[in-house]
Amino acid sequence: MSRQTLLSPALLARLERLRLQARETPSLRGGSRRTRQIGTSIEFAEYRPYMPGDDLRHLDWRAYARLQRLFLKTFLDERDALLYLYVDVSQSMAFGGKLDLARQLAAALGYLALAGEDRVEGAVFSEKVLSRTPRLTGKPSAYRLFETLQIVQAREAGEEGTLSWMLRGGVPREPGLVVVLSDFLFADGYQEALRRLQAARHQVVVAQILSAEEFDPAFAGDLHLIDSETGIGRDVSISPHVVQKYKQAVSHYTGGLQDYCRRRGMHYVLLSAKDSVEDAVFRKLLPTGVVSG
Amino acid sequence: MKFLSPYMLFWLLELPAIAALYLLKRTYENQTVPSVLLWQKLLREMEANRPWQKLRRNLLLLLQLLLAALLAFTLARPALTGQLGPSADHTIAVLDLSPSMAALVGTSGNQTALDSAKKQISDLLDHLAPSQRLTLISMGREARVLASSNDPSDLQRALDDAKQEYGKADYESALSLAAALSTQEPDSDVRIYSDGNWSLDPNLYPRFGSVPHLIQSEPRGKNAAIRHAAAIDAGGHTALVATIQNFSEEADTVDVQVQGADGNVLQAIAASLKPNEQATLSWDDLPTSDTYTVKLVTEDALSIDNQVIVLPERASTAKAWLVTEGNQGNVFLEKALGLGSRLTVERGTDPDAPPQDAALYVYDGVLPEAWPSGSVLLVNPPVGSPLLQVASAVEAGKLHVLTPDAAILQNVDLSNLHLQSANPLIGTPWLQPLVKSGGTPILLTGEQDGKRFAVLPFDLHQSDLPLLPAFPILVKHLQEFLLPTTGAGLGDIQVGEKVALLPPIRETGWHYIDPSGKSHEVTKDLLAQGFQPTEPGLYNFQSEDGNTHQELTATLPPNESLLTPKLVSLPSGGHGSEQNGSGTSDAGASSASHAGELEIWRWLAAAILLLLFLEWGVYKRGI
Repeated sequence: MSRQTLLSPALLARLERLRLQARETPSLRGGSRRTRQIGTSIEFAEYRPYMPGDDLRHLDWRAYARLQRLFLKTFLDERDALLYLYVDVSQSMAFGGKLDLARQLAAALGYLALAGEDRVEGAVFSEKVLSRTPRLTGKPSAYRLFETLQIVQAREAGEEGTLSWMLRGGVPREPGLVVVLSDFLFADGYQEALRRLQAARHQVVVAQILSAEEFDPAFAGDLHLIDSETGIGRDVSISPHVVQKYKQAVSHYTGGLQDYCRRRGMHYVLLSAKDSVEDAVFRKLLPTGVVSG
Repeated sequence: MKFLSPYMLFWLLELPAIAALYLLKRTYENQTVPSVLLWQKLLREMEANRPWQKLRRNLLLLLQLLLAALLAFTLARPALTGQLGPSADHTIAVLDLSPSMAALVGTSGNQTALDSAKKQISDLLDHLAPSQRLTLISMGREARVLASSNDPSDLQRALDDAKQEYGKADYESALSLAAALSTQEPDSDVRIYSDGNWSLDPNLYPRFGSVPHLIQSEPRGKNAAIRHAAAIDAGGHTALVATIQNFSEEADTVDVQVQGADGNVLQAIAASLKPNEQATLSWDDLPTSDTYTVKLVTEDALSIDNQVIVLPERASTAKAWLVTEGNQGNVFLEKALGLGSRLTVERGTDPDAPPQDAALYVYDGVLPEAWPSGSVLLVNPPVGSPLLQVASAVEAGKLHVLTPDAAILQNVDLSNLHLQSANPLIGTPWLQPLVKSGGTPILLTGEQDGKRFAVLPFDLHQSDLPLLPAFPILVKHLQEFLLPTTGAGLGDIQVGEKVALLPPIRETGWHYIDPSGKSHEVTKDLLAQGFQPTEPGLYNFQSEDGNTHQELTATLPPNESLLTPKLVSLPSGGHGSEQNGSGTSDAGASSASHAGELEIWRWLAAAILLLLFLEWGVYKRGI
């Protein structure tokens, strides 16, 4: 997949106008993101009386001339944000274009973050984190992110997608915005991992991507359903009634995840694999407030 | 409900086979899904209400089992039995109205065989489908199609209008009518509601299009009847003879009473009768009465035959006036007429000067210019009289008795009659020929202007009739026909027979009282057509002033007292004569208890089709 097919130039142009709405994070690096801390930007914050030891360069001499008192002119600080992109590449993501959308969405988010002078770290995982990009900064390095995402392939069967690696020290240290792009069909659950992320002062965005077939299966008859990852089979006689029940189960599951996120102040977005990346960004993600125009 | 082909039920064995096949067949197709996580959740949920889900899962199996069972049942040809409805598109119901149908049936109540038959037909009507037609034929005095329709209300009305009759029923015509209808439609179903006692020659039974069903009711108990009774008044005392018969298969003792006109019991006898035995009872010294009623006091199935009213025959004072050709006299005729004591024969000379007081005028070889006032016996009427047109003599041919049942010909054996020639009569439609020689009638009777006529249009001297033993009997019968009145009685006839009302009843103002006590006017129509009693008993004709009265007794036709259902085998089918001949057969036995059978395989077939669609739909939707 070329860079052009991953994200079209027109989309890239549109993405540049978006901005990641990361909460203020205690970043050590200067960036384009205004913080409430007093720093070195050109935006005026307040006057405060001089205390010995203050930088004399920030003294307002004009005020001293008028009032015979020393005042220090302070400015707001501008820092960058750190965006972690975790893309699930387990076998279950290979169905119905889920991985394609996940890749495109990761690329789009990464690009708009880099364009906004934020740092981006991408990673793919299934049982564990399989590969990781270095922290990227600056728009030109988006190319490296795209390249990494392009070569990502779904893993073979036998590996089970899970977030349990986070519990084993996989949670990134530096607080940032963590976007997990997955179908969240983890047999061992997702709650603990997400909780750990939040505990590490990350801002968590859950992007659940399900294929159209998972929403509305088109099967009929007596079927032996085989799990693509574990190979476990289940006998199901599919009837309209069963399909109805299944749909209920799906909405119950996604609703459960959404509820969990809402209660914990995480962002949640449910995406169908047949959505285009434009739809995903501008229709689904924009309203959640993860990005803003 | 019963199955017409029950052995087909062995197809039910396919049910376990289907179930077994189903168990073997249940294979699951592999289908890889991203994750079974959601399905697992679903299955866990479905485990919770498992029995219902199991049933759902096996819906196809259940449908198939149902289908197979229905198919097996259909093959077994289930039929609803009982008084449900007619099975054929066209049902021909023949309803016997003869006197024997007045017999009580059932175990209680006053239900007669006719009521029972009507009830059964009414039940048929209740279940008559709009596409089904029913033709109701009455088997009474005349065979008639009472109604033929698919409208139950029309048919019910016709059925309600069918009344019990007491005259001789025309069984043969009714059977022929039904047979003719059923031959036109071989699929029709003929049901004859009768006891089968038709006294018909089995060889003369008509051929039906399909096997007719004879539906009979068992009479309640035994039946005894008075077959015949006669009385003669011998001046001051009366002798009475009655014949009673036990019509049942067991011995019976009956109390016989003789009552006078005022209803007082004059004599009573208890008579023991062996099964089917006939006994003659006689009373020699009964007090004089206008009428005598012979009565069986015993209760039995048919009550109408337990009473006979007898008009005693009185010594006659009637006069016969005989005039012969050329006054030569006819000694045979004179002697024969004078037999017994009823008539005194007086010889006349001039045919045109009859005495006024004679009751019978006999013209042998001559004809008067005008008819006299009484009954007329004509022997060998001459050619050329304006009164009666007679053609020239025709040579005699083969003798043919037209009405062997006629009262005049009872016990009259004419098979050895030889005669030279006979004179055909022209333009006499009012004369009924009874016997023909070749094509020429040689014995005719009839009525005109209230007078009775009998004609023997041949010369007695040119035949051996006077030499036959039958001659005096024939003359006696002719006498009875020509002079039916005995005393104050009009006579004794069978119900349904016609009798001419002779003077003085032809005067205006007469009325008559029927056996039930109702009074009726004697109308002109009645005078013109003759009187026909409709029920047994005494008919009392009275003049306007009430001073003159004449009585007529009507009796049941013989053989109607026999109530035991008779198994009759009626021939059917287009060809062959497999059931011809014998009066009873097993076919008749089975039809005796025949009830309506409605095959319901059509409904089952429709249900199977519906099920097939359902099954197809279920299969397509995948469960």
